[in-house]
Amino acid sequence: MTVTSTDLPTRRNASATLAMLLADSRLPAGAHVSSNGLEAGLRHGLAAHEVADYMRTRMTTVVRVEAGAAVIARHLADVRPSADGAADTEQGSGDPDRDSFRPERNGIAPERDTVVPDRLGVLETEWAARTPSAALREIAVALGAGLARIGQRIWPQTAAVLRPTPLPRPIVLGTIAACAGIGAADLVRLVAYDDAQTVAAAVLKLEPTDPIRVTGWVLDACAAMEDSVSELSRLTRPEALPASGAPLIEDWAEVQSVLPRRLFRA
Amino acid sequence: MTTIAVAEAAPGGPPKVRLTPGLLQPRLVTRKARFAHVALVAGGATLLGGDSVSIRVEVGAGCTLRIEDIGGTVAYPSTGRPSDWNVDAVVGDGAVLVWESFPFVVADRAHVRRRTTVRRGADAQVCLRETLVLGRTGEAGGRIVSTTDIRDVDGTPFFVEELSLDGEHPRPGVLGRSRVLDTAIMVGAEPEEEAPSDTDEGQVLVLARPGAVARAIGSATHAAHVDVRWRRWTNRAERRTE
Repeated sequence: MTVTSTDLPTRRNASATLAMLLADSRLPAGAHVSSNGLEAGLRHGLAAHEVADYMRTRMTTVVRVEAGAAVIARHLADVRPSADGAADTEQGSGDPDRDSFRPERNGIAPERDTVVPDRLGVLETEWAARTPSAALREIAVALGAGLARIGQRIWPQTAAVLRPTPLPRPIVLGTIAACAGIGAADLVRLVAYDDAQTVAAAVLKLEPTDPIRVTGWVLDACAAMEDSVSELSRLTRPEALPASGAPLIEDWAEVQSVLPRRLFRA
Repeated sequence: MTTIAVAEAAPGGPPKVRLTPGLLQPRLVTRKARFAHVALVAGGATLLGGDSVSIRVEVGAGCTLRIEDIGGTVAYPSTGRPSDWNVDAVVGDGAVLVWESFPFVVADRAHVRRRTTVRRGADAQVCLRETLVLGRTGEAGGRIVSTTDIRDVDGTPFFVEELSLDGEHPRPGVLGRSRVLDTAIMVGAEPEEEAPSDTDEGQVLVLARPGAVARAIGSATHAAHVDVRWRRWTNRAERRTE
């Protein structure tokens, strides 16, 4: 079944509202199953006092890959026909913050519904090549499925892309961002915030400490990421996806997937 | 630029081997049917600040090339300019490249950019070994950004990674306080099933496309290594074109 853009309900929210919604742990997306490797890390040499540092390290490694994939997916899913019939993938004003809300957009045009999945498939291959841990790829697809269920219902124009194949979370997020209207810079910040807050929520269960102090760590990690927001939010090509690796994070993900008596799935 | 190019001369016979010396000197060790073994010898005190080592490798269709570094490499303290180490390999259809390297030591205040690019033809197999050591004995180690980009000739990627390490600034989740990262990369074949008690060599990361990355992270090269898996993978790869 093809959903045409004319019979879609047009749900319009500001980029900031959408980012708050998607970063909210109360959203029924199933994100609470992840500790972002913290549980295995704490059992394999990561000290409790290093958790703030761990959040910052993630910002310079895995978050760059995830945020980059979300931004590129947003770009690729935002396909509108242009005068010469070629896919128009211009980023509008070029300012990622001002580009965030375009009420004229009707999401993914139905005639494009093989073009977008094909392009996202290329992005997924690039993402998978930068995610050598099978455990990390699996949890990304599981979390992507939780988010895709919400996405298809709330923004039906995403269904043509999200229904047929399971996609990793950053690509689902980027597709929702394209259709719902989240700006590229907000999207980067959303991925970064979500990553740190996931670690924060997990550390309070695994090594209980002062929750207000941990909240400070989240903001510090996000602030450390801020210098990269502009660079990441301008990515468009799948091959340009950052590839910053973190061998221990990848190891811990593998260990976590078979950890006995674990609290978290990832 | 150092060049090692191997191509079939007559069907089933020993391949034609073309060697061009650069900062590293290639030496032919042995040659037999569809197989060549080349050693790489340092031409001087590599690697100094500002040095740029380039190695080009071409393995013709159906050939197997084994490259072996003779002795490890030490990247010495940079005098303000980073040093570069670039490897560019093209592995033809049905060909095999096995590159056995010795530890690459990044001394205090060294600054190295290392880039390995591999383009793989249909049904080709590639095994690469990379042992990074931060610092000589008693040192914390310098900075290295090591980039690996392994794709099919049509651009479809297997493994793409940019690893940024700095001995002065260890990061939890990257190497933590460890100084040694031993890596074996194999693409073009599925890794064999392993019994859980087979080795204690760290994790095997099974890639999304046929291939795997074995890693060991630790404080010394004798304790953190992937020797067993490397031998297993390379033995299997080299048997393919026999």
